[in-house]
Amino acid sequence: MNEAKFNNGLFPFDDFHGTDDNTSSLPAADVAGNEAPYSSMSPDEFERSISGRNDGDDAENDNGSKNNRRISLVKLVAITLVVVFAILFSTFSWFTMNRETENNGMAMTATDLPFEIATIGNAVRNDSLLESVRTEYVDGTVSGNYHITSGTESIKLRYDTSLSDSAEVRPGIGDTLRLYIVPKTNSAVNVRITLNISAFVSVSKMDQNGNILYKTENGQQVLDTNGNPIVDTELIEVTNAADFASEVRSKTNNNGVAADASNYVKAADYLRGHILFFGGEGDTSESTPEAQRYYYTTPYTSGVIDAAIPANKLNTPVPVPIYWMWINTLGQIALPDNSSQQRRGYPILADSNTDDKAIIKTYLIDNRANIFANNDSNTVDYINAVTSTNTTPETFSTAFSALSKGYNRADNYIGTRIAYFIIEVTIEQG
Amino acid sequence: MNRLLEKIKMMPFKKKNQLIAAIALTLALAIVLPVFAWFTNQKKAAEMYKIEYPNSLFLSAAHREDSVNFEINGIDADELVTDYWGTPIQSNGSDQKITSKYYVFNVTGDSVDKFTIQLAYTTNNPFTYELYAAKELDEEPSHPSGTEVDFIEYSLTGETVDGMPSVSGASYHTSARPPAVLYYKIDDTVTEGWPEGQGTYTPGRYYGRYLNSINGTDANSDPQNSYYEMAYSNYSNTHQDAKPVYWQAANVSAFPGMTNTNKLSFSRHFILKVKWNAGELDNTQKETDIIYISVKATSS
Repeated sequence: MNEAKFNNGLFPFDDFHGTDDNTSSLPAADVAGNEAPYSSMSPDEFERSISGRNDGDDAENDNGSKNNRRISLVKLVAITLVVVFAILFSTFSWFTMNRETENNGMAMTATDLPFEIATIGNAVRNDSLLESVRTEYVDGTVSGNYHITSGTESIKLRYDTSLSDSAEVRPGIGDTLRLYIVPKTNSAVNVRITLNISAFVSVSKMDQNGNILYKTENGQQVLDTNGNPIVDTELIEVTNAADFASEVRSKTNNNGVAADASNYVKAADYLRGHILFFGGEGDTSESTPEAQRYYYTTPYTSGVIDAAIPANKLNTPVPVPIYWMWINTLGQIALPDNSSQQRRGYPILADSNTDDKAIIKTYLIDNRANIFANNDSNTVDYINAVTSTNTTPETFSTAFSALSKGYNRADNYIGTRIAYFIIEVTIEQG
Repeated sequence: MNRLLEKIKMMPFKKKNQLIAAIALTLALAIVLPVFAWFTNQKKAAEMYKIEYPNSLFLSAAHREDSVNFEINGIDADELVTDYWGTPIQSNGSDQKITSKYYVFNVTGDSVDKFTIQLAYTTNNPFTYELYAAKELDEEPSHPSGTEVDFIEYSLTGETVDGMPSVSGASYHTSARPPAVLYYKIDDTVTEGWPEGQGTYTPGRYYGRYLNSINGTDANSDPQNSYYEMAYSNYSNTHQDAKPVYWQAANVSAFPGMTNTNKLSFSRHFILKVKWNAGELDNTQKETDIIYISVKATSS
């Protein structure tokens, strides 16, 4: 990687290869729907509509008691409405808060889920940054080697500094999410795990004139160990282009990045397209002949995993490891075998694993706009060509070179724009 | 349905009141319950990763022109040492043959702080190779008669390379256009290539080290020849001079003497000196040698 050689002409660094937000759709629609009959009707109207229907009954009563009853009815309805509004607004305000709510104010406790979740390891990657952008994640309660949630807590996944590399991520790098389910029952538990990737951009702050601002302390520039000033940056989540642009403008005054917002959104989409999740480890051990090595099994291309926790595991952390990898080259994931000699590195899935390779092919076609920077009307044909074993060398060559180019360009797109990403795992009862 | 409505109509007012209250509260509960259920029916976990900025390096001819313009051919063992005007410079009353040639190349990069330059070459000819930092000049340096020329001329061709990051600054003559000629000299202010410790070192030179060597200074002295397999795999019938020598200068800076904290793009020139001992190179005995120059970013 990153090498250029004279003998082959020039190779600029071309190897940097590298869903929507989980909008909570559930109760928002219900609440809005239920709210309408109440909120669109004033207490007066409500009263009128009822009294209208009661005219016959009331005719026997004298005017005084009729009025009294009306007043008490109005009061009752008003109280009921207040109660309903109170509930509505508390839920509304909850929805407009962060997607992952904080558990203050409403004092709810979770007692329904038959499990807690846990993680293991001596450190949290980018701990303080994670805290700064996602306040709800906590360390959990330490129990033995495990950090376990309690109640409604969301937990920071951990890693082991001695076993795993904390270095920066680039194409070809993968990791394991060390997730455990801790059943609170001896019955078997089914869980549904949803995976989401959120991307963040490190945006340089600028002054009114568009000059880069450097970090200062007490009016003095902060210098690094070499005596150079350090650019002042702000970490901003990539949501949609409009929101991202306005957030960038208000927090950093960096109009260049704000104007380029749609490309940052694209970069975040490419990141989601290039990171794949897997359920099992492959075989890359030294003792296996090189031609037979591969990285993973069981691709989770939908981002949803259904897992079954066996019975009799009360309070026992059961590992549900999730492997992810930023796929380095298209050849590693798309080619059925290496007969073309175009594959660099080991395949992601074993060549014999044709079922999973078919899943990947579908994934490439369905998500082509988020995988290839040069996606166009030919892309599907190209994907079919490179994933087939019956393609003529000429057709293969055209298709593979176009797709690889688009894949690598997307990687570069990601790397030059996205600074951090968070993999968020939501676990529900299946 | 009609009967039900009738029943409601006939209901005493008090009961109607209760019914309304009951419906209202039921509705309220209907709203609250799914919210509660949703809230309590999921747990979340997260991990945050930092993405490495993609660094890129470009190797090219002088002034970042296409590498086809970098040529090392045509070493003439009988060429004489002359001054700028071609007048031979004599030593002890006789003409001298040259014992070295200089070639300029460029390394341009983006988001790179330090990088490694590697030379890999065969040894058919009695050449040794040295690497120097170079500076680019747009004015012809002085060249008094009777002295050897100490700079290299390069006529711009305009053959550029796509995708290179733009650079600026005094050390790079951005506005130079063909048919301009640029001049390159060893930059004797650069000392970053010197070995650690005391010693007398040549300004601008990168001393580097040989990889397949016992002590790092003698090429191919490693009896194991650790890198042999990479070139020839299991093939053993190889001539000694066809076994590549690997030499590396590590930690070459994007900006000598400074750290590229802000990931600025840069352009640096280097001079490759091909040298041989007087009398060892014979035009009738010359063979072909291959030299690969490669650069790789040092991960930070």
